[in-house]
Amino acid sequence: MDVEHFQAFLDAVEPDRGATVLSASPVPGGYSRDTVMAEVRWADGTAEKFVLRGDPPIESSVFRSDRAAEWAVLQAVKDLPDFRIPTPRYFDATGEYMGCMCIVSEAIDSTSMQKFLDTGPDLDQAREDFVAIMASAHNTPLDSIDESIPRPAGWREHLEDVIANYERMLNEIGEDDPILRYTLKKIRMNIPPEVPMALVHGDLQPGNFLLSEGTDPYIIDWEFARIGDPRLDLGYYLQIPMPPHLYHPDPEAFLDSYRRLTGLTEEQINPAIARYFLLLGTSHLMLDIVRGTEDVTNGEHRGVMGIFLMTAYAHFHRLYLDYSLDLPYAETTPEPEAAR
Amino acid sequence: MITRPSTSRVLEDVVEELTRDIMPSITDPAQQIRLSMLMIVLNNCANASEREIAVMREEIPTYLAFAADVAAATGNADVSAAAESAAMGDSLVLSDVIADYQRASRAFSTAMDLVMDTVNRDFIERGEDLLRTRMDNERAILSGVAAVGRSAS
Repeated sequence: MDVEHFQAFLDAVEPDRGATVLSASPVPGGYSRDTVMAEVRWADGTAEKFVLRGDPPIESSVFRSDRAAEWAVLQAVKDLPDFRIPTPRYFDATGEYMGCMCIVSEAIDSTSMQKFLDTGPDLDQAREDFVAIMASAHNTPLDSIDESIPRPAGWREHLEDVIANYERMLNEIGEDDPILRYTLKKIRMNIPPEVPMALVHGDLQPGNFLLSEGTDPYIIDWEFARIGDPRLDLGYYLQIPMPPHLYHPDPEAFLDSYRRLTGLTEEQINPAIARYFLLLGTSHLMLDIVRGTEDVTNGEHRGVMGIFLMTAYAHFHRLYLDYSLDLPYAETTPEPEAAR
Repeated sequence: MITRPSTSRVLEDVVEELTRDIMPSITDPAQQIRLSMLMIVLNNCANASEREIAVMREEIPTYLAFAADVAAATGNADVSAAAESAAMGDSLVLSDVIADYQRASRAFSTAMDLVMDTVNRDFIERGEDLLRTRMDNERAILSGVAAVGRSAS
């Protein structure tokens, strides 16, 4: 994803606009995808900035997501009235031009909510803003989302598919991780009440909210988005380590706002259920981490992340044990026939 | 065999060299981040080289005893089979210790599954204590911070 590749790509997709790619600079820090900020001048004298988001080479990556699926999600949500995303402009679906499958979106002159939090704002107000953005995604009517985005057959089947991430992890490592087996059993003993399915972002955190002067916030990084249980996003946010955290200082206030905006009941979402959903909302990442470490074990190279994520493995292990130890014992809820 | 400096001390010194001389010469922020990650990995390796065999050999008997006690108390055939298939050998070769540890862990998990299914409180409490100990050991090694438990070598 450099100047030459992007130039060739724009020459192909915008042959009449006379693009000149002025720069293409990697943006460091992403754990998942390679990101490049590019500047383009068009023949009419106007200039634009773009964010290029592509897949790193398989031999230097751990997290797996489908760029075509992400492009489909972006197309499905780009014009929704409830929240904004940077306009997705182009997609190199084959990697023919960019060297990898690559999504090109408009760059927003903005600051991330995480950076804003670092400036010491009123955290009660920031919490309310964060919850409102989260709820704006979760309140999106599903019938407004293009039918190309897969819909689970039902809530329980969807939940079973998420829970099955633990079985997939255990399959990867030969069933001999007592922490994961214990966590899986506790998860099955504590199936929560059903809620309506919603648009789930999959990586909902202040770092993925862009604040821009004079507009509503933007939500970025939709690679793990799906239709599912919205509490997955809540549980995911609980483990985000960057301070200041907007949930942990006052879970009741956070969830009270969330319930008020989404209409969920206290039985459906409360601090205990939010903690339960940390176990599920992070399971897709843990599965990729486990697969990455297994790849390294088997002699494959996965770049710095393959070995660095051993620390994340231990971190999630600790969280999973702590959170599942708190869950009560109960008879295991039988799996529905359709989910088997 | 040369034992001074130990493997953990060598790795610690590699991290020091990277910190003092290599890192300041790197100007690309992305490469700085990558190097920082690799230094954390090296610290973890230093921790592991110092302790991992001892930690596993401390835990293995506790898992085997737990599985054997659950098997004896319940007469469950699966737990008995898992307990009988696991043992701690004499070899201190790392790959052998890992294999023993994995079999013992599997026997423990098989027993733990059973006592959780039947909500056997006494065994559950004992098993949960073993999980906490396992987690504490894992965190001590994979904390991503400077090496711990270091000998003076």
